[in-house]
Amino acid sequence: MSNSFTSPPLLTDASRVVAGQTIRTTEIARLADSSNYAFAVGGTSNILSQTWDDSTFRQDGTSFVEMCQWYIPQISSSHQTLNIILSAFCATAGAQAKFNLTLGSNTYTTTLTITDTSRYSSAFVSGAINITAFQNDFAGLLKMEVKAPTGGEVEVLGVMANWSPLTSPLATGQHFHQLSEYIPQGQARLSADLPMSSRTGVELINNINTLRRRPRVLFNWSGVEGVSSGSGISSAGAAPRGIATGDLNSMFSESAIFPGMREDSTLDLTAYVHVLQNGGSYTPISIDLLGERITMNSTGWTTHTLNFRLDELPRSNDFGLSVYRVGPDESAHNLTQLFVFGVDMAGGSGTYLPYVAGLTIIGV
Amino acid sequence: MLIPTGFIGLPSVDGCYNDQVVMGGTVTQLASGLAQLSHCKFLGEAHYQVSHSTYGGWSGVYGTGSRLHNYGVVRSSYKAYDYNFLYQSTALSEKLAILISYAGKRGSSDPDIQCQLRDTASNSFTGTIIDQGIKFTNLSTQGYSYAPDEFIFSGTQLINAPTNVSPTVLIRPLYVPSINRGQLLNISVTVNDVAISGVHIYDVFEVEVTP
Repeated sequence: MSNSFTSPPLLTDASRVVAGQTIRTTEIARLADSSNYAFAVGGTSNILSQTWDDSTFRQDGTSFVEMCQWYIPQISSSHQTLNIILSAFCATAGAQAKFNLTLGSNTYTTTLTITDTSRYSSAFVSGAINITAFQNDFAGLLKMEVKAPTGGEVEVLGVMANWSPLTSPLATGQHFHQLSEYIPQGQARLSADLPMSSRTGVELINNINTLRRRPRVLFNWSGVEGVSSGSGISSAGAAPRGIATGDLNSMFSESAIFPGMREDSTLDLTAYVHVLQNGGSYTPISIDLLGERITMNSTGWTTHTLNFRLDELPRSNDFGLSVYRVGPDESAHNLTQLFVFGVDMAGGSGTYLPYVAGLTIIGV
Repeated sequence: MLIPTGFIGLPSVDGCYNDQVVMGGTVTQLASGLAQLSHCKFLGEAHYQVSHSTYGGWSGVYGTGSRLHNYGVVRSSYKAYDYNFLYQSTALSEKLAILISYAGKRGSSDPDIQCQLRDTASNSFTGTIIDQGIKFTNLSTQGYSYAPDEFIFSGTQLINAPTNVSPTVLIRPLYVPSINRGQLLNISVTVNDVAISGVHIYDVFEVEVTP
């Protein structure tokens, strides 16, 4: 079938296409199969994963309150369904969470009604944000709002998101990821009685380059703003709002970063940093990320391209891959810059300080 | 065949023009480049940070909203205490490596962390157990409710389908039966006297596969 693929994909045995071997259509057809699979399925695992412990993330307000923000990479213009899964509960029926994804100038929304009445009592709720216009961005901003029913208090335990993979066969025509294009490979044009055209090779090379640029989420974390609970602060409602000194020895991912990035200027690591300051004049904050010091010259979200300067972690041996620490560095600079108190965030002592309220690190 | 772990240079598109010899080096490089994508770069991973209340002994002075010390707080309620971490697997998710950051408290019994794998039929947290999983028991601990974060790892052993009927202390990756690959899965984690601050889930990379 045209533009079809199998799942799991059929690999071309590299040893079957070396000089001296018989030319078979099997190997060429498999190139097309695995190319189409990688486009359809690659990068559709978790792109957002975050959990809160019991009595941490609560809301008793009866109007939607914006509480979390994350950057979400768009993996292609053709992946148009973002699945959202929420673990939350409320003893009173009617609690809701609303997710708004802004891509370019458009915002897409889904609202989930929370059904569980106690912690992990039965089921998580799920929904989808459907992208209805042509969008071709690197990433978009996802915001989560939460509201409780009258007399109720909702507690969020976790959130997860992923793009839906495409199904076989792929739609005909070009697909895009920003300036890169992907052209599906039609199996019917690779039959044994047809010539192997120049087009096939050129498109496969371009397709591989496009897919190498497809983003992977290596780290994604949001603080929680606007928590409100009827319980005392000692028993509920003290969610982390910013990354602070005490987070540095465990708040990171161990992620593979693949060799060969340095040789291709189109393969980057990108950090989105969300800085908040709730009053007073802003003095730029800087933090160390992946061995590089970046400065946020304004509050809100800022974008930074990273040239990581890190040593591989010993766990690379286990993974068989080059694995690095991805997150805020445990550097002396960060220990100072991120030593921010709750009263400084709120200005309770008369001083407001900037704090890192969200961090997304995207690799390739 | 061996799976490349890096972005190996691709042939120039000129090498695929008419009158060029493509079988051999050019097609081999294309095959390797695609294998790297499907079997390496696009293996699934999920990185859960587990946020805890920032209320503590210093909150009266410093307020809440940030974690000022690098100690996890092991609450008395952390006994047979569950979490559920959802993971969107792919058709290639056969073994799942688990990396956990945690703080442990030594009490009358040793602290432990159990990880089981469940399906998510009907969005249920208590879906069918598809791997009875593992039980970490050799944890670093302190004798107090406050302890620095440590890491523990399942390893990446290339196991066959396990047969244990309860979580085993012989630590290994979790195993996804072929029928469940590509589904949304639930890594169900139960702790005893442990505060976890992060759970990281990885498809295990295999250096060599059979085409």
